[in-house]
Amino acid sequence: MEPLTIVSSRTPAGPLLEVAGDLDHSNAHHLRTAAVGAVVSAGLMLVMDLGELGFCDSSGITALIAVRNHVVAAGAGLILVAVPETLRRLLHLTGLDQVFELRDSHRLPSH
Amino acid sequence: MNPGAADDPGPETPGTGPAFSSLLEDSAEDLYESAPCGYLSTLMDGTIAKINATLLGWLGLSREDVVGHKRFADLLTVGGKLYHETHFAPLLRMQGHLGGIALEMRTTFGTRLPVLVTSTIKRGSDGEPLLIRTTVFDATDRRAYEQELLRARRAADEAREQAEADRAQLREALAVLQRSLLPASLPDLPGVETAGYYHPASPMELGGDFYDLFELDDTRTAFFLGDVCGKGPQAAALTSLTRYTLRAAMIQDADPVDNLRILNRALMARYTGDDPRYCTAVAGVLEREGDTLKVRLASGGHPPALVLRADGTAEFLSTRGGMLVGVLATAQFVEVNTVLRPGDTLLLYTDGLTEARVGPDRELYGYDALHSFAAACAPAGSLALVDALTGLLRDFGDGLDDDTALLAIGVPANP
Repeated sequence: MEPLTIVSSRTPAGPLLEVAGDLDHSNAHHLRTAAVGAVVSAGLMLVMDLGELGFCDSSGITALIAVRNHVVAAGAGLILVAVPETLRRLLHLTGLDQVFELRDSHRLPSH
Repeated sequence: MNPGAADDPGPETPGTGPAFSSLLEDSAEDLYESAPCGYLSTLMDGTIAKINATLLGWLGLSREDVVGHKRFADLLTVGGKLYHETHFAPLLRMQGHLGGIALEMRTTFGTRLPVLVTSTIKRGSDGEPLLIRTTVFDATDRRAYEQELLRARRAADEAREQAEADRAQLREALAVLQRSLLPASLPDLPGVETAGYYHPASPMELGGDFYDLFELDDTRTAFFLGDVCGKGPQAAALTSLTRYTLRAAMIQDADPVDNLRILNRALMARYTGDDPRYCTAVAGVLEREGDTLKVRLASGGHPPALVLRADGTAEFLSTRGGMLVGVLATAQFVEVNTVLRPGDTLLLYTDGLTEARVGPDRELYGYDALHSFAAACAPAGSLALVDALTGLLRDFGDGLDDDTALLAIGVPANP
């Protein structure tokens, strides 16, 4: 079990949360707290980088849904980037790939 | 600097104070008589020859009553006397010394005095035993301490028994609640064989899987199976809401996609933003036509159902795109249709089965392995299939750490 770490920063598009480690019932509330603390205002995007996310169980999914509800209620958007393959499969299976916007990278494409 | 210091021992030096001087004057006789413990010496037959004032004081006896008249054993309680005769005296004779034996002495005040006794045999120059010297310590404090320990242990034993009883009662209550979330038995349907199975992850935790199957009219039967998020009492409350909402919706108008939409609305109304609660579910309707069953099936975020065909093949019924129920107001649910002919069996399951951990690397069991297992079983009736899967779940051992529900619906092969 890898401890969960959440690093918060800001980009021009909005707040960025880099989530690493394992997400389960014991720590899923930390993700919610971090997202609420990230203060998204209307029109901005909360970007969540999941590239270093390990295990994610149904409590992790619940936390992602709660974060999305919070962001949408604030008139903002949520983007999940670098979603690991196992989580991606789970999101497809549960139809949540229609709810979350998934991207490969949060870096702006270089010209 | 003090030039006289080397010659002056000072008032604190041991051996010169008035208290030390009076100790030197203390006679051996006085020390014997008023020592803080009891002393007595007996002849080899136990007759008391000498006893100190401390012990006489404890027992409330005078020297004349005792010396030459009583034996050591006469000073003991009945139990003490018995122990003295059967154990103490023989052991002492054998070993020549015996220490720290707990006995009780009788006092003339009508009380018992718990004591610790140490005895040594004094021998003459020829080795012949002459007399027994005995020291007696007042063990009242120690006895009180032991009784306190015993009392504490009794209290701990009682607390443990109470906790075990409470635990058994809780387990029983949980089992009753768990059973209320599943049908007591599946109805007998003409020309259809059904089988259900539920494996709870733990007897102390309410599970979050559910299924049901019930007749709508002479030809149609409704069924569903699903998995709510979370575990414990809150999951059970969600399971209850889910099960009865789906049941009511399907009795009213059995249209699987519509029924899941109604459930979606009910869950979203009950659980809001900060505390999202959701489930995955498959809901369906069977319609009998001759010796076949037409199946309409809708899924919301649930693993795909499997069909085992009479020809020995197995296939997943893809419902990809169906969304978790209770997450999004505009959730889409996906319907798939199939026909079960004699020898075909439909299997619904929860992800406890596919997410079991197997092998030394604890890999996910997964959909490919389930497909192969089903194909190896096919063709199989519902009862045989659920039997085989129950065996598989048992073989997972502790690799199976989630609840698992199974529901199989099949048309028996033509004889």
